[in-house]
Amino acid sequence: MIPAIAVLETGWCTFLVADGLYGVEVARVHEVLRPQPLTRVPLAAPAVAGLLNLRGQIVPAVDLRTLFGLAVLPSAGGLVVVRGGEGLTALVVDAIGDVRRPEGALAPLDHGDGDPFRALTVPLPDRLLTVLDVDRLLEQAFDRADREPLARPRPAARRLPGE
Amino acid sequence: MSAHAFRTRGVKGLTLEPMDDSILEEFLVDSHEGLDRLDRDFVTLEQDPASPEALASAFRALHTIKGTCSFFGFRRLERVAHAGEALLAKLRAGTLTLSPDITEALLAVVDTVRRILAGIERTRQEPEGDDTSLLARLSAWLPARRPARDAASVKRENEDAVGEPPTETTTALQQQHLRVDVRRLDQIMDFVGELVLARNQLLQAVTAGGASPAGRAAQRLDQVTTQLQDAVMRTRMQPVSALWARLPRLVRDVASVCRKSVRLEMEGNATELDRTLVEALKDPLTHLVRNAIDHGLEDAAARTLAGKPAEGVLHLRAFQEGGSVHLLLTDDGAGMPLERIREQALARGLVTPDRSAQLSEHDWLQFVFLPGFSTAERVTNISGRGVGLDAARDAIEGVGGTIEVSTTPGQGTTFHIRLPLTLAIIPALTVEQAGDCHVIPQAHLLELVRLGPGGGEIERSHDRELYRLRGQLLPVLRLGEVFGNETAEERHLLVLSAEGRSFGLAVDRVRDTEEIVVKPLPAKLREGGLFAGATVRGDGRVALILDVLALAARAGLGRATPGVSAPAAVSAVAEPTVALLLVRARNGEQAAVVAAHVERIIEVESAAFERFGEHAAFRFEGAVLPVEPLPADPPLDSAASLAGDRTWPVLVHWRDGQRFGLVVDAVEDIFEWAGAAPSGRVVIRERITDIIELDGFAMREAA
Repeated sequence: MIPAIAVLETGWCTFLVADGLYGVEVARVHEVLRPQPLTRVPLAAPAVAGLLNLRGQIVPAVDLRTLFGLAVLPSAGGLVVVRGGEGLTALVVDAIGDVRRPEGALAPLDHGDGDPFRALTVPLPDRLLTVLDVDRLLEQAFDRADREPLARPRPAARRLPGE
Repeated sequence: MSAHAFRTRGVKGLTLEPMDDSILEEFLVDSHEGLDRLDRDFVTLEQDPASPEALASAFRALHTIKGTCSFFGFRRLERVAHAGEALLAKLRAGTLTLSPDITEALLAVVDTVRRILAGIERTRQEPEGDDTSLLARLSAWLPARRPARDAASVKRENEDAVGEPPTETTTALQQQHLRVDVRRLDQIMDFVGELVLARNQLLQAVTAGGASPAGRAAQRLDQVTTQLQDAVMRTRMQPVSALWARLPRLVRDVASVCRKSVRLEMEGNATELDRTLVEALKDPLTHLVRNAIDHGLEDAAARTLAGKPAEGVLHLRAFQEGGSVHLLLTDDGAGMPLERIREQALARGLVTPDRSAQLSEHDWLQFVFLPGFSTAERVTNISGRGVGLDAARDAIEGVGGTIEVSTTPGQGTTFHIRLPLTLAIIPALTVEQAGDCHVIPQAHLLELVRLGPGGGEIERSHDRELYRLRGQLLPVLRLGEVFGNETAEERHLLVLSAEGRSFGLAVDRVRDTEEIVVKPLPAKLREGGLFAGATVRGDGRVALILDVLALAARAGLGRATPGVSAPAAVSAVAEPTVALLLVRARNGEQAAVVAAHVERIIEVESAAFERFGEHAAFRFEGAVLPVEPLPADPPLDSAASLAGDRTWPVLVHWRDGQRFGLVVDAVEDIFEWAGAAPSGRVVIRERITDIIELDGFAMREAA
């Protein structure tokens, strides 16, 4: 188990979903886990991947691929447990990345409240980082209405080295 | 903590540092507990004015408060408490007898002390106030002037008042109890959960190693972990009496405002429930009690006219039934005015006239839980404004409970609160559906029926599926259909009871039974309503607990549908019973088994039994069915054991995936046992009866 990241750090805990590099504020991250067995919840919202046992606490897991309208992989690459409005929620991602910090001269683009998930797009030197708005994301995830996925990411124009 | 200990610690605190806030905190909590005890004592004293225990207990409580507040320098509090204590000392000495006036005055002391304490809690300062009228009232019974008495009697009285308490009994009791922050307990629970997981992994790792020293150590660890988990769980439980402590006083006060005479009866004080539930229930229960006295019970004149005793009875009962705690609040009043409820509901457009014809009495009654709904003819400052019942219901449903009301005109009203044992350990049945494991609280399970070859069959009537169970038609719900993952491979039908009605739930298969720890579901997943919670299984994975009531609603057993009446074993919601099969042993003794655990009873001729070694068996449905004697009976080791030209009743049941037969001399009767299934030895119909455990279920297969 990877130890929890210190709360006071600034930066983004990053992870991959399909071609995209995403991140959440480090302060919102409770811990990062290797894939765990999940218990399906019948009749729950499509994005609810299941429940996991986090040291005795029952934590729902949200599949970001489903939420983004992408095909679900047979096995997840990792779980990012975030603090949401009501306790913890695990985000199912393809792979866990590094913690990235704000750097460089380019200012991030603030998406404001109009965007369903995105809070910022941060231009890292090697690629763009989409920072997710955890609260809005979770609100969408548990919404049981079978609506169209809101944010279908465009396929990346080019593959990045190492992917 | 005793007053003495406060003083010792306090002196240090005063000389070295400013007053420690935690000491004050502790004083406040202690004092509130003391006041609650006083309330109870005074109500007891009203029934039995000379009760020495109640007098002593009240005296001690007030004395402790007085002693401690003098240390804190709360002069006003000290004066009031002292006056009350002096009056109690006289009552205790027998020089004064308790009268209603004195009780009123003493209760006024309690209220004043409570007010002052509330002020201290807010501001850490003793609030200003004038207690002269209260003190004057008390002094009416106290000696007018000290000089008027001789010095010796004053001395004696002072000794009596100050020297003796706090007595050893209080301190001894207090030493056995420790106040712990609930958050700390929660934290311990989490750690235990982690320990359980580590234990499970370790067990898996060493099972391969066989009986190595590590394997033995792991097994010991396994046992201890289970015990630890259980012990921690129990620390969170509180007896329901913690919830009821204030009710006697409340009943007394409300009754006197309403000018009614009410007797409060409480039953099942020791029933335990989770602390969080105790907290959540305080307000709803207070409301229901007020309501019952103000509106439920008639005044003495009306009662006498109706031929009832002038004194109304409010009966409170708590009991645990499997996975639920039940609270029943019954008054013997006039009952709810159904006609008025109908009128109101129609007038407010809550129900259309068409629909109203279909509503049962039970359905109409549920309107009283709607916001703003009131049938009270007058609004008092106690109740009748149409707010409250809805709030009570919200609070109860907020902790996953339900509340229902039933009424009999002229005879009274019963509120039935049913609560889950969140965080409690309950026995549950694990079932499998489309590869997923789900858990069903055993409290709802009546019996198991095998489907398919050699078992029963689900039949279809137009658009509904039904199962014939001993001549009764049971509505059937397929779990796969509900969840949209049907396999058409259902092998078991669970006969479940929900609110006094039964229905069948078809599942792929039944796995096993285990004691589970109920955990709340994340709030966002609770909305669907089909799950009552979740639990962590032995392998560390999460399993969902099915909400049987919600499933029942899906099965068309909703409240507006009459449905199929349940077997006698569950028809009485208020009083759960278990059907026991009474049998006579070959030696003439009486024994009993839980009827639902028996698959069937067959009569076997003596000649049909075959023997191998010490065992007997007979051929049954193409297989050999081993037969066992009752524990009380001699073994079946010879042909003479089961001889004669007669037949023997054999109770067929399942154990470890195999059928067994229990041979008895005669099956005598079915007996409805009130409460949960008994064990050991009990008395039924004035005979000592051994309860024979048939290992769980009528139908059972190895997982």
